[in-house]
Amino acid sequence: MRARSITQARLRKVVVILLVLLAMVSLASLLIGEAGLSLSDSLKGLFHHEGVAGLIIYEIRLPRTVLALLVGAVLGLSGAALQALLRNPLADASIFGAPQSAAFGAVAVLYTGLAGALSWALPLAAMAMAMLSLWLLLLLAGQRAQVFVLLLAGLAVGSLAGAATSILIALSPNPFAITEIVFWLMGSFENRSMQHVILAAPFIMLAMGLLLAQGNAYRALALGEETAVSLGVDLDAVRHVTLLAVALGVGASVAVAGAIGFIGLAAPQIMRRFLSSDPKQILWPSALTGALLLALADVAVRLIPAQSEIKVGALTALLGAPLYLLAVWRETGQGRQP
Amino acid sequence: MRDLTLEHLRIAYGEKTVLGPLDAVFEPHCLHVLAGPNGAGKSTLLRHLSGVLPKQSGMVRLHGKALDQFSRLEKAKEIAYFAQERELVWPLSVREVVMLGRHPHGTSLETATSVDEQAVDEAIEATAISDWADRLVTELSGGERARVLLARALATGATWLLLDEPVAGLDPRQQFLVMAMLQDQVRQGRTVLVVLHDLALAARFADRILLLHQGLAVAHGPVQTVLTQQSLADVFGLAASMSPEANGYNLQIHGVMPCNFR
Repeated sequence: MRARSITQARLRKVVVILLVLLAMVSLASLLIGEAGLSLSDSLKGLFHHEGVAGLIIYEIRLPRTVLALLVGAVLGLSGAALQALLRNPLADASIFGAPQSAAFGAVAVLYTGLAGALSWALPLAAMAMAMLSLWLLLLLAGQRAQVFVLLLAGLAVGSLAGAATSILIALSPNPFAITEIVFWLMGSFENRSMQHVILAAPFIMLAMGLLLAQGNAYRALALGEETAVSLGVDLDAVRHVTLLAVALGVGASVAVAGAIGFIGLAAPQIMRRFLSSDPKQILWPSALTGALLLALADVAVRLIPAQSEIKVGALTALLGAPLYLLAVWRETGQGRQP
Repeated sequence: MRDLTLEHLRIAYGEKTVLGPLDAVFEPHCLHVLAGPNGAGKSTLLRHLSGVLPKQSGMVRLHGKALDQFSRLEKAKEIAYFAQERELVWPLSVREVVMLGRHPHGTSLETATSVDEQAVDEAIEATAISDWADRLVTELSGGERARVLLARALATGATWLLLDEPVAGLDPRQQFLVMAMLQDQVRQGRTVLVVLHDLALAARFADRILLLHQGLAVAHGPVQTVLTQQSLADVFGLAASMSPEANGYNLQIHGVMPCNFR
């Protein structure tokens, strides 16, 4: 009982801190941008919803902020869920090539003229490809595959999808091919509108609901698959729902923001360090952390002086990849606890 | 009708039958040892009974009702399984791990009632691990870990305990402690099916032994009728004998049979 109340108290503390930071970053995201509004103009626009400032904040910066929060949340949660399912802190959809595959799906319908940039076909195709890539990966590598096998297979899937995406865009009659390729493979929240939010939000919400409902099963899986089954966990259902939800979340995110990596890897890692290793307890906090990280990265790309805005996916990869290497080193270099 | 009955049970991996056809009755309130050489089908049987492996054909009845008729959670409330893989990936506290045993009752850490807390307390007491209840399972030794997982199995409240080599890798003292705890659980009304490789331990603690060889039952019954000179030679290739003593049977191994004994 005592231990439980301590963890509950710590959970509350961490969630409150995350919410405060989220509020601060969201506000910063609304007040910072290339329009060069002064702080007082921005605040006036934000609170009185009028004038050019109001227009910029509500039409340009708000959708961008909301998208970054939604996408970050679902990526953070997906990472926590995959790590719980595979019982390995190195698992993440982006490591398995799912975002690149989703980008290929979106690009395939967009550049073949099958659908417009704001059509429902875009997220649907992205989700279908994300699903396909995850299925293919687990089918090829086997249900009981070592995560390292999944990583290598994921690398191949990701590279293949990335190459196919860039070739497809280059072949289309498109004067902005290079920029577009970079957008799909690196991800960005530039020039997003409320239409994009409407396109992605329902799938992201559904994905998060499905993943959050698996908490007890993820926790039982800490004892291994056989023991979890003996405790009444429907392992096949948990696997299928998790993969489906991750594909929905990643696909919908990619359809509106391109492929953004490492959020799903970093968020649960951070929560495991500061909160607990309980796979159920870190689900919500990982979503909040993912939202915080991605919103923060999206503010950062607007502050870094550059000719054209740095893609947010490039920044998350720049910060996330070393973190990943660190995690790999921790898992292998020092050996895991027997 | 409080027993567990196997009727022509057959389990296969693909085309290859690894167990059966097997007929057996496990009476309640006994410590049943499943013995036999590697590949005899002992673990396969437990993995089927705990729901991990499907069967090919045949029937299992628990308390007279077909095991297939139980829902996942109903079954998990009746049968607890201590798997051979003692996986504990995340650094959870001992108490958190034991509480996972309440999963079949729809309980989690957040929703634990006084009934759940009591079941967990009793399991922790029965396995004498209360001193480390707040420690992380990843920091425990093999013997300590085995007892935590045993407590987890007890916390389910299941009357049938299925254990796959619970003493593997433990030092003799820990092996004895775990077996004594199982014997204690039988006295308190539970039924234990345990896979053991150590025949001396089996002879010492078993009420009944099911001797399996190449997927088939060679003998099933009290220790002295199962572990005979003949069966020890035929199944294990051992020249050995049993002698009764105060707390069970003493197994003496005199040597191995010549390599072409079969």
